[in-house]
This record gives sequence, structure tokens and C-alpha cells, in this order.
Amino acid sequence: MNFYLGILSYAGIYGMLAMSFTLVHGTAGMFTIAHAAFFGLGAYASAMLDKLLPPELMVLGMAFGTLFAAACAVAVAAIALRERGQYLMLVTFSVQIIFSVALLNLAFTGGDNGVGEVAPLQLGPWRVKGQIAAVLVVWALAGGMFVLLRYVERSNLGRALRAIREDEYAVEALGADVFAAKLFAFVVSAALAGFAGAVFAHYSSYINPASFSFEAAILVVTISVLGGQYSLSGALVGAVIVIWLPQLIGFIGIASEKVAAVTQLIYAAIIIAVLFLRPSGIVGESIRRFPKPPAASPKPPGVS
Amino acid sequence: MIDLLLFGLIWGVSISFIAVALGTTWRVVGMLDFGLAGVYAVVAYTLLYVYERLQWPIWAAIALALLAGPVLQGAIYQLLYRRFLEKQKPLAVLVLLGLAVLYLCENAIALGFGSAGQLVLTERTPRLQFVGIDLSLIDAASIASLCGVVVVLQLLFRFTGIGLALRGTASNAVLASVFGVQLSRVRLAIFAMAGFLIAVPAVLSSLYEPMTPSGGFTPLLFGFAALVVASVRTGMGVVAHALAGIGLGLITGLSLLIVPSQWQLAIPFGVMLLVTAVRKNRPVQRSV
Repeated sequence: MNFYLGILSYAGIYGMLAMSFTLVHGTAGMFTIAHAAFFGLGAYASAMLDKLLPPELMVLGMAFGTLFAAACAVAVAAIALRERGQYLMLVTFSVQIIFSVALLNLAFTGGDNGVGEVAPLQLGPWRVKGQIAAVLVVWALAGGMFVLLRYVERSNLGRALRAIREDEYAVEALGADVFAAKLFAFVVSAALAGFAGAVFAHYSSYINPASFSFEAAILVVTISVLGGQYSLSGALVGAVIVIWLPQLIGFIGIASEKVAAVTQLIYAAIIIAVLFLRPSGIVGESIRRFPKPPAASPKPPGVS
Repeated sequence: MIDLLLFGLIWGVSISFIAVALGTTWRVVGMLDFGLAGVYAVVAYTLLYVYERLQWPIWAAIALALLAGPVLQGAIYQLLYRRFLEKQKPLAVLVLLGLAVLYLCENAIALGFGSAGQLVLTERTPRLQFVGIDLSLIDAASIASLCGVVVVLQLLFRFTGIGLALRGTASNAVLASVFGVQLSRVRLAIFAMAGFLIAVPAVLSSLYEPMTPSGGFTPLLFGFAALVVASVRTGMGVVAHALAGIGLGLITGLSLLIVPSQWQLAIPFGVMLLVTAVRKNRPVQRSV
């Protein structure tokens, strides 16, 4: 297994996860801490259904994982979106903790051991063979998600979400359905996180609770903050940096048992440095907040 | 049953201290400070270092560790939080900043001391008999210190100038500053107070439990749940936060009768979700 190609694939998968977070946090301004849980729901649902389906129908399993994450997000939203402010953060925080504890202790999810022997990626009859093909597929999926989210961002709905981020009371006063827009952002974001989880499960062939823990939830936020909380391309850039970082630390000769601590120390230092020096992240906001004013029309001849 | 209740009560005392620390910080500056778990770990390892390696007497080591909490938390405020609070950054940014502080503290300790659990006191502490219940000296000290701290904080908030300034800032920071309250001093005071409040359970638990660099995180999560369950809307909520902490501790202790211990962390968050779903008013609302 080529080491660099593996890192690149994981960067693509975490890039998808971070882009899904950008939709809900960066675009709609809703701070949620449960994205690792939705990522995990997609991964586990897809991996467990994989045991029941023939390989040709793997796409169905991945679709189920995506929809399962979306359905769970609707249930969470029913409680979390009733009120404004910190409510969503509190509820998603609880959901993330309960999910992490449940994954560790439920027998049918494999407990601490997780789920192994998940079939490798297969799109219909075409089995993804070799690492280069896997990297290409993962990044093609990430590219597809980028295009989809870019379209949403630039649509009327995306503009409404950005307006809600700035001042949801004002948007409500203008007659927009704030609840529906927020519900859309939250559920679609969770579905995309679930999809990223399904890809993760099939790419890794093995999943365990550590990949979906509270620390993983903070990793998503770190990627987003580092690359740019308001930017889709920032999510991809942040994912590449954050996934590469532990490997770079391994190269500089730190003892293997200290790599995790040094990595987290560096993540923390990066978060603080970015918040201090460049709050909008490395890439910054990808869309202008306000459209350019129209160019002044030329005066007709003869008018002074 | 009595053992579980006692376990729940002592655990609840720790949660109460943390809930009061989180709650007063939240009421005055509007920040959910997860960095307190990092301060908890630093205090516990200060005690370990001073007692075990420098061979100070235990009372001196405890005094220094208790002092380390407010000093460190005050320094963190001055160096990191102040700028973000003055610019009124959104809650998400403040939460992230707190988490970054937590990771810095935890991992710096892990690099310095290793990740394995370490005990401060290896010998058995003296036991007391109270109404037929067998209590350790540390258990009794925990309960007494919570009662003492709650009374002192109530008196401080009600009858002193700094208490009035803190309550005024919690109510309306802009108006308080118009009336001459120096917000930066008030914030420094509240962070130092939270540092002390987190230092007490850190020291007490370190005396009977092996400590790890990430040992402050689980108590902080319970404290966070207690803060939400208390759902204080007016005043500083010291008593409400303390009672919510005790309540969650007792529920967690008694839940061991029917729920396996590995599910313990899910209990307070299940209660928290239930409260959040049922209550009409928003939890931890800041309006006064």
C-alpha cells in the first residue's frame, strides 16, 4: 500500500466531511459538534448492510448509510432547532457523547473492536482496484460534493442561509422560512457526512469507535477552522494539512508513543494561531458577502 | 445501595464544583469554558509533582495546587480569552478556544509525565463513622468544602462590592461598564474564581483516584450537563448549579444498579437531552 496515496485518499474523505460541516456551520452559521456521529452513522450503517448485500449493490448500502444519517439528523433537529442560539450546540454535544458511548458498548456494532472485513469500494459492477483508482474515485466524489455544495451556496437558498448566519431575526422579519432553511442545511449536511462515512468504511475495510469519537468531532472543527470556516475549498485544504500533519511529525523522529500527544498539541496551537492571526482561515470566505454594485450606466450622448 | 448513594454523592460534589465554575463563568462572560478541564489536569499534576518529586509536605502541596488553579486560569484569560471576549466573538469561537487550551494542557502533561494513571496518596486515608455510614476523611472534606464554598459564594455575590459588580456584569455588561464597573477586572476575577473552583475537586479527587492527563475531561462533561440541567435564568445560580451537580451524581451512582458502569457517561447527557427537550425556556439562558 502506497503510503502517500493512502494519506491523499483519507484527506479526500475528511475533506468531504469538512465540506459537509462547512454547509451547516460556515454557510448557515449553526455550530454543531455531532458531525463525527453522523459520519459514524453513515459508516456503520453502510458497513453492516454490506454484510447482507452482494458487492454489486454496494451503492445501495452507501445510499442507505447516507439516508440513515439524514433520518437521525431529522430526529436531532426536532429537538435542537426548536430554539435559537446555543441550543443546537448543546443538543449535538449530547448526541455526540451518547453516540460515542453507545458505539463502544453495543454488541451489534462490534463494541470496541468495531466492524471488520468491509468490502472494498465498488461502484455497480466496477470494483475499484488499486490505490491510484481509489484516490481518483475518492477525489472525484469529493469534487462532486464540492460542485453540489457550491451550487447550493450560490443558489437563493444559499444566500438565505448566509443571511441567516448574519442575522436570522432580520431574515425572519423579511418573511423567509428560517426553520425550513436551517432544517435543510442541517439534514443535508448530516447526509453528506454520512456519505463520507460510508466511503470511509469501504475505503478502510475496517471501522472502530475511535474514528467517530468526540476527538474526531473536534478534528472536523479543526479542519474547518484551519482551512476556512466559510469556504468549501478551505475545507479541502484544511483536510490535506490536518491529515498530513501526524505523518510529518512521525518523519521528524519523535518517538511513536508521543506522536499522538505532539499532534494534538500542534492542532491546539494551530487553532489558537489561526483564531488570533487569521480568523477566516487559510483560504478565507469563498463567496463575496455582498454582490458587486452594478456598473454605472454610461450617460446617453447629448446629456451633460 | 448506601455505598452507591455515597459514591453518587461524592461524585456529585465534584460535579457541583465544576458546574458552579462553568456556571459563574457563563453567567458573567457568556463563555462555556472547556479549558477548565485542562486547568483541572494541571492542578492535579502540580499536586503530584510537588508532593512526590519535590517531597513537600502534603498540606503545602495541596495549598500550592489550589493556588495554581486561579493563577493559571487568570493567566489564560489575560493571554488568550481577553482579546476574544472584548471583541465579543461568537460562542463557537470561544468554545473552540477553550478546547484548544484543554488540548494544550492535556498533551503537554502527557509529554511530561506520560499517560499512565498515577496516585498521589498510596496509603489508606483515615475513616470516619457518620450516622452509621463509613466515610473517608477525603469524602468528608469534599462535602464540607462544597457547603463552605456555596455559602461563601452566596455571601460574596450578595453582600460585597465585587459580588455586586459580578452580578451587574452578568445582568448587563454594557450598563455595568457605564456605571463604572471595569469589565476587564470583573472578567479576571471570575476566571480566577473559576480556576479556584476547578482546583478544589482536582485536588480532592487526586487524593483517592489515579490521575491521568485527560482526567479532567469526564468530570467537566458531567459539570456541563449539570449546568444545562440547572438551566439558570436569573442571578448567579450557585445553589442551583450545586444541587444539579449533586442530583446528577446521585442519579449516576444509583444508575449503577441497573445500567453497566461503562454506560455512565451517557446518563448525564441522557438527562440533559430529556431536560432540553421538555423545558419550555432555553437552557442556560443568560437573560436576567
